Amino acid sequence: MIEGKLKVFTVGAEWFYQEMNKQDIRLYKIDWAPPVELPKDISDILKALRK
Amino acid sequence: MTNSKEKTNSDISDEIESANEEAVNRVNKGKAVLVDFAPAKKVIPGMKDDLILHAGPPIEYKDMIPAMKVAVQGVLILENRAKNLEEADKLASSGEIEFRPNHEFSSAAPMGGVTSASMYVAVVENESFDNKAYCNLHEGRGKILRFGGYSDEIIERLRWMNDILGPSLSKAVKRKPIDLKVITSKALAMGDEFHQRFIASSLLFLKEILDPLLDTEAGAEGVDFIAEREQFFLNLAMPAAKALIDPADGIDYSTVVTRLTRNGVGYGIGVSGLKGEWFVGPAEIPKGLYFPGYSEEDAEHDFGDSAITETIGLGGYASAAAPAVTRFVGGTVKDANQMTMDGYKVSVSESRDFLIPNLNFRGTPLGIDIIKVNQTGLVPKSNTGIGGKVPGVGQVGAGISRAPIEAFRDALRAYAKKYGI
Repeated sequence: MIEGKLKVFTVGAEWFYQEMNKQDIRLYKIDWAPPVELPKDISDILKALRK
Repeated sequence: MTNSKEKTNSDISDEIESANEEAVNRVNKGKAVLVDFAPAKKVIPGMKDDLILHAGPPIEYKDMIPAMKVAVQGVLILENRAKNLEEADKLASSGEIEFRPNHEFSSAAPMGGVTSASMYVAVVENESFDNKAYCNLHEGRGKILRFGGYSDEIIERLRWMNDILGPSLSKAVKRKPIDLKVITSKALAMGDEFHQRFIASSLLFLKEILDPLLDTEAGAEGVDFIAEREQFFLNLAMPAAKALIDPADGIDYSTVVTRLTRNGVGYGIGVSGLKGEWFVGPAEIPKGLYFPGYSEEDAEHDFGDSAITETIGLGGYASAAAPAVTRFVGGTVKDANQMTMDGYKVSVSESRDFLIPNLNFRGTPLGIDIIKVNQTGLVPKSNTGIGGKVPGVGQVGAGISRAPIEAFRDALRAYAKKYGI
């Protein structure tokens, strides 16, 4: 038995996660979302407001 | 703005912090007491015969979704301005009738939100800031005017509500004004989140109104009408939210959201420091569960002013308090908790009055911040009813709808322009 944490963050990782579980490797899925892509003007405003 | 050009961006960040603190303090200090029911024309400032109020951001009659158009036609028949839907459609298209958003008249009403001069509205007073807010009466679920339902039975029920129920409720609450903030706090601990589930609050309201209402003309029939409608409190929670958030509007530099509302075409937001401006993105079809016989193909895009509840930390942001709702709208308990947790990430503060027992009595997220929404992409979500796109069908399901990020982007752009960032 292997215990550990897997950060699921790539396309197809759900399949990998399922496979690992089938093999009795105990993994804990951590929800992850990709960083928000901001339009440049919005990004500039947010940067300007950062203290 | 007079001196924004002279301020550095760091100064502006300090101004935002204190303005937002002021905004949430005003919501926390506010009161929401139901003091009357009366015809819209008698109590809503600016209301008149040729004016019809509707949900969402501004929209012309020709651009309205079919359900909202039928609701407009229905109220013109109710007002004896037309004999049938065809006549009403002609009148509504003629330019003789003015259409304006509820939000611009201190009002908020569910789904079509259509309100005309003679319709009875609830009057909610926030005595801390000397303002009032209004909402039409709750008809029920299913085939009803606010969902674009139309039939003789629907119009008859509305006439009874205007002639008997409204005046009776008026007498009852004049005898005993009802503190809606207290009911909301109690019912939140009983599993209501105040956008979809109102079972506890409607019962608590009924308990308060029962005795005085029995002494009126509506009597037992009025009591039955309320008892049969487990969302009756929806049309009280909404003006309560409006009465509480309005004093937080118009604070210079504040980035707190004071309006969230949909008309089936657009989803509009308003921001405290940009008073009176609308920022609109597309309204989506909510994701959820459908009543037997219906599917997403039958669904209309999101509509109604009910997302006003999210602006004061209720609705989607109170989902963790209402696990029962998630099943109804097709989610899981984990999803419900996540909606509240996401709310904390984009809010300025937490409610002092609305506490979630299963989060160790943590206050609900309060004061949606357009800066944080833009930073995280976590747009407000609501548990909402889904209206049918074919007029006359009414409600076809319930689900979760999201505010469009485009509206928050545009609001931030306008904010930067106004304050010289």
